[in-house]
Amino acid sequence: MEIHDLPVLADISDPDSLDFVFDAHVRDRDVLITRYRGTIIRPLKEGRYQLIGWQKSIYHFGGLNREVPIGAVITADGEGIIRDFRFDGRCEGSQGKNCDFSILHERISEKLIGKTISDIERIYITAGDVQCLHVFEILCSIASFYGLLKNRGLEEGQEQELATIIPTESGLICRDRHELLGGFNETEMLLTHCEPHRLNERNLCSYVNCDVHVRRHNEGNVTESLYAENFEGVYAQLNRLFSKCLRQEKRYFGLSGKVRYSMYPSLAGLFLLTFSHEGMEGSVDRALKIEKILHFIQAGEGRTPCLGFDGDLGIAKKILFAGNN
Amino acid sequence: MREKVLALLAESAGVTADELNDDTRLVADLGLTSFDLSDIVVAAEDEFGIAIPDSRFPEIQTVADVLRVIEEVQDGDS
Repeated sequence: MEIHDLPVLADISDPDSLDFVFDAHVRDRDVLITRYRGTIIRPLKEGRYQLIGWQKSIYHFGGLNREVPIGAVITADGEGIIRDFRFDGRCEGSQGKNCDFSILHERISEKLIGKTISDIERIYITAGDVQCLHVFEILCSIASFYGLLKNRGLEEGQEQELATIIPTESGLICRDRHELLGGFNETEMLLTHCEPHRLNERNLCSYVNCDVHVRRHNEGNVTESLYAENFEGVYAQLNRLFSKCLRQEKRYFGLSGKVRYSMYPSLAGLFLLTFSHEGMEGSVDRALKIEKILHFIQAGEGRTPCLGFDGDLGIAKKILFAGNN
Repeated sequence: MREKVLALLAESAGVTADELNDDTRLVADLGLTSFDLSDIVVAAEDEFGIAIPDSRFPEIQTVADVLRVIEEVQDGDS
């Protein structure tokens, strides 16, 4: 199934199968990045609740074509205490088999079972605490959305979001649609490059000069400028752009506090990756360069390496040394 | 100014202003991300009509840092 528009979640009778996530694909290689994420909270029998969270990233970067689908299901009792946690068996991280979901499952179950949904954000403060940014984002989305339903006195609800980044003749176009509790917010960002990006020695975008025309379906349009002369500056400019988008979305949906069920924080990182891809010359080793950027993002400069890069926990090591102790 | 900044921080962190003090660490204690810090900066710029340079982001680690940076930018000492 090609995913161009968001599915109608209400029509899905067995959302915990997560087939609507794992069967969604984008074969059009002009679409550089597609990310689909969401959360469903629904009551089960005997006063229990099911909390379903997912995130699927699809990348097409000249030679690097990858899908990173992750889905998790939490079962909680009527008091919000977590009784069960599972990943879908089809989960794939960005580092393939090295992203060992059995290890993540074991660790997360150990920490979360018996705790409340609201405890999740206290237990997992940074992505390093989970050792997987995608799973961290899914868990925080679930906890944050659960908090919203609780504050509004709702027992069930759903939200989902789809973002795409596509090249244009003069830059990029990014479209984001977020559906939340029956409403939706749509944003389109048209980036026009004023100068070509420049990359640093790590192939990360370290110079950007572009205009961004932001169109919102429910508010006036605005034009922002992005200008930075180093990698940290590029990242800061992108964070600024998307924090303004999130602020607008919070106003529109009437949200307050820490909102984690949103694509905007991730879009800053995804744009950084896209800018770096755009700044590369030629096609030789492009996929390898992108892999190295992912490595830097996931394990570089003092960060706790994500599970796929953790040499002590990689599946290869487990297989190699199985039975040797 | 202090009350307004604490209100901004409390809103971003999803806590009450009473839970914050100068030594509160934005990442370790409040679980804020670099994106949240950017959100706080954008909110402070709107609130106080100032422009905080991106180069000052790394200095912002605690509540006291937020107050200090805003004060210095207001005083034209950025």
